[in-house]
Amino acid sequence: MTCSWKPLVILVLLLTAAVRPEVSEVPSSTTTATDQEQYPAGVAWFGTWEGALAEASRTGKPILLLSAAPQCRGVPGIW
Amino acid sequence: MDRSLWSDPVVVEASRNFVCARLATYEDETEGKMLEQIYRGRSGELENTVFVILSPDGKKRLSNAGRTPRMVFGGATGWEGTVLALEMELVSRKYPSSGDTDAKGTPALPIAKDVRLALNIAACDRTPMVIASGLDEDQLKKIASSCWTERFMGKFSWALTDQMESLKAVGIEKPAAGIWITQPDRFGLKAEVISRLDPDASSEKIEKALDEALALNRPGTKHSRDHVRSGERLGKKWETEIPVTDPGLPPAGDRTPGSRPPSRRGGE
Repeated sequence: MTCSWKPLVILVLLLTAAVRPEVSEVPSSTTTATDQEQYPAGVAWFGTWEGALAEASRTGKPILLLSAAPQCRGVPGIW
Repeated sequence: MDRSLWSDPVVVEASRNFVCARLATYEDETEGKMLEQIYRGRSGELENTVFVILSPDGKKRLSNAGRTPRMVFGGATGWEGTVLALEMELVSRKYPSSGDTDAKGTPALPIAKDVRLALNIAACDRTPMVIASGLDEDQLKKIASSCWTERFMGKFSWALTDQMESLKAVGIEKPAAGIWITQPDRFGLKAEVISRLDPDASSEKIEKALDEALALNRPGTKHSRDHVRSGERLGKKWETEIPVTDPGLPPAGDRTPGSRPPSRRGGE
């Protein structure tokens, strides 16, 4: 009776062992990806034309100009 | 706006040789007229997005104008950032002063037009917002110095005000002079205060508070359709300063594509 359980126990242990490394690796790689998304270097945008023009005049740098609406169908919080 | 394009590392690196201006479409009459002169779509009206590269005096176009970098420069899907960065590199080579860090003075704070708009932009970008309220010039320069370090560049939305009412309007219950570091709600209508520093706070304290705000920031994913649906259901509304004229971007409550707002402020 005892012996008949042995293969099942061994199978469960093998399956558990096979799954564990994957499980333990997931949070690690997720954390890295999240961190990269969390603190990405960003384009430093001037929010007004007046501010941008003053800075371009000060530095002689060309101006990359983008305009976008910070609302969609009158709902704010989305480009 | 394609957030992935503007957070592409090659684009971010190339952007350091430019003054980058991101105006809020339909939020300023003067800027609206200027944008109309730069690009109008098939409709003949100012559309949701405009893109162009200009000379330092803002008068000469250094690229074609269009709605997006992809429309101007092309680029297969997934390669838009690389194409844009290459075009930016070509332009910046023609301006030897670009990348010059010896220019006298410090860049000013890259503020939005007002607190209300800065908060909305913070929600769009999913960043914290910093409000410099009632500060003197020296303190503003100190904050600007911190703001323009690589550690903090492009990671905050900035606003400047001397009006305590504008702080109250975004939910700051006890407004006062100082440096307010806040987190926008999902719709960028209310700000949650993370910390407030005294008007004469040291650079060390300011940078520590900025670091803490970044550490606390947990930007969630936003899906445009879900966000709009949720905003409509919850009654979250934004009134633009000038009429929305993009035929593909109907005003609040109007679900008919192609329709136009009847008057200013989203149909009031």
